[in-house]
Amino acid sequence: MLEQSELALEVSHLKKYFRMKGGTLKAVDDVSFSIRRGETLGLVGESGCGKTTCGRTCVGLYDKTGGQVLYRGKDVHQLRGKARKAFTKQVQTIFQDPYASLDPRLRVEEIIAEGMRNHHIGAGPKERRELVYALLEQVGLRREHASRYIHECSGGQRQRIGIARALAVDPEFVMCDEPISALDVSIQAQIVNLLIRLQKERGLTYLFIAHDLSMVKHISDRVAVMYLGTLVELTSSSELYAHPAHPYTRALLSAIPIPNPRVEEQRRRTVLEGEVPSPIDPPPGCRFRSRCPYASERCAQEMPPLQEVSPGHLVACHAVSGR
Amino acid sequence: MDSVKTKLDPTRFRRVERPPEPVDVSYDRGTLRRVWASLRENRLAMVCLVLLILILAASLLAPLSPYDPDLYDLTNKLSLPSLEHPFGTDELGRDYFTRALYGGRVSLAVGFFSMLVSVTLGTIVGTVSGYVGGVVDMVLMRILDIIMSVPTFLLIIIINAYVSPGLPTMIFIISIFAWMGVARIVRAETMSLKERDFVLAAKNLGTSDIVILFRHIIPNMSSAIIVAASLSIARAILTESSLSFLGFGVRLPTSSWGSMLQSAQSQILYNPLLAVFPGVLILITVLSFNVLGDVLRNALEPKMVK
Repeated sequence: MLEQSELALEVSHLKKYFRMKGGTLKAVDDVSFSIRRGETLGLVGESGCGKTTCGRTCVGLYDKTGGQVLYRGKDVHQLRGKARKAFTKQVQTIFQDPYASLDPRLRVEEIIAEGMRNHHIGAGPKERRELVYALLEQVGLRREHASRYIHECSGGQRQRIGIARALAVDPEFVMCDEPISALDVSIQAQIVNLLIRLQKERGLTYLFIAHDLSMVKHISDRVAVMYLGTLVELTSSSELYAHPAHPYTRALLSAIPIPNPRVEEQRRRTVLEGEVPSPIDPPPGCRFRSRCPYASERCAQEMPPLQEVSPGHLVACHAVSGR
Repeated sequence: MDSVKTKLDPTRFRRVERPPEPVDVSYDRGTLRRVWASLRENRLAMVCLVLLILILAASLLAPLSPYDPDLYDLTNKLSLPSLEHPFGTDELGRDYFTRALYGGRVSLAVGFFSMLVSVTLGTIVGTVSGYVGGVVDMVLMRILDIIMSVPTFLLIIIINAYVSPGLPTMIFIISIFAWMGVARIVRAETMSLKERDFVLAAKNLGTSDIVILFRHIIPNMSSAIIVAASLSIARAILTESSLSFLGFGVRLPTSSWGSMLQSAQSQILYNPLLAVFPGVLILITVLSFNVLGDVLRNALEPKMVK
């Protein structure tokens, strides 16, 4: 295993349940992974599989139901007072929805400077204003945007403002919660490249949540695939795309169109049948078995653990590990 | 092919002049403009606004009246409206118009200040209750339920009997029984706002709870508070008038619309107009505040309309 000091985030057996009318919604159920410093871990899965909840619980935005999240050796959910405040400077979040995550009553400048004020970055209002201008330019906006309100900005501009806000406190770790899914494709690439550039400049660590596999491949060192609250596969980005092991990952990858009509015509696509089952009180066994072409009797009885099938390649599937 | 070509002879096409289509560009130009726009659309609301401004201005300018509101002129009692006395005079010969203006000052002051007190109190209780939640919320809401279940008016009368009457006590007593509605609205708004992403983001930036409340939550529900405030002015004016009518309001000879109604009662057979003037003034003021409150609600919370 890796040395402690190299790890930025260490998640072990994390659980996050929501109590609902019809039962318990298991949004995140026994998820374990770790992220090295300076690394980007992509977290992918379809809508509603618990990616966002997982990410938010990891950075302490939600309370956990069980398990543990360590950031540089400290339990994220036990932090109080000064330690908690220091944590908010180290760990930042880029929110999924740039419309909901920015206060409509504040000017862009105030939004970006909020974290700076909290953490006493910049000596006074004047210096902070200069820092805000610098940040705006860094994320590809202009100074004029500082005095605008959110409703005067476009979706792409808002997402950049969200990025600038997160970077304003000079964090080490950024949880990017689908930072690009609210944007159109032309802007997506710009934002991703911006994130990659910032990572190089500042040595950031990312937890990059997305449902778009091709974009995740572009930015991530390692990728974790999530299905209905559990991790099904975790490996390096290149390995995942070259040798996907879990049937769900294979299906996901085969959904990426290949920009070559001849290849596209020839290849066989794995199309998943059926709907995602409800995460409320899920039955025991493998969560994916209702849609899995290889499902067996064993899958219905025991949940497959995340096992190493080759160095650094973890898969949770009886069919794969039993081979 | 040929025939097709001839059909497409360009001379057969006529240029049609059309006016350029109006490009509907609507920007959100801020709250004030939105309120103004919906005021202009609504004629009743406009009338109410004008009447309110008139009543407010007249009451503020009351000292300009040539008459002393408390000066008896028994030779000239119960006179009918005339140029000299637009509202006539009462049973003690005092100029009724001047008294109505001074009475308006009392009623409006009570309305305005008890609104301020009750909105402040309601906002504090509501935000704390909604934001902190848990046991605090439960305790505060039960206290609120208890106060709400008390027959307010009777209690006000009883309290009035024990404290020295006067404008400040009046305002205080009315407002301690008027903040509950505001608190409920504010609590509900706070509970929904605190789950919003931008509040989560502020927490994530290390912003303290107090700052989150004042910087993010309260400004974002200002429209709900304004609406509640305008309605609570109307209620406070009504309460004050009822109290004064029953003789528990401000002490005589200071007039208020309610106390004027009361003294007009005994003269109703001789000069019914004495009851009409303060009655109509109360009606117009309360109605106007209510109508404006509704308009504000529609303008500030477009979700409710659509």
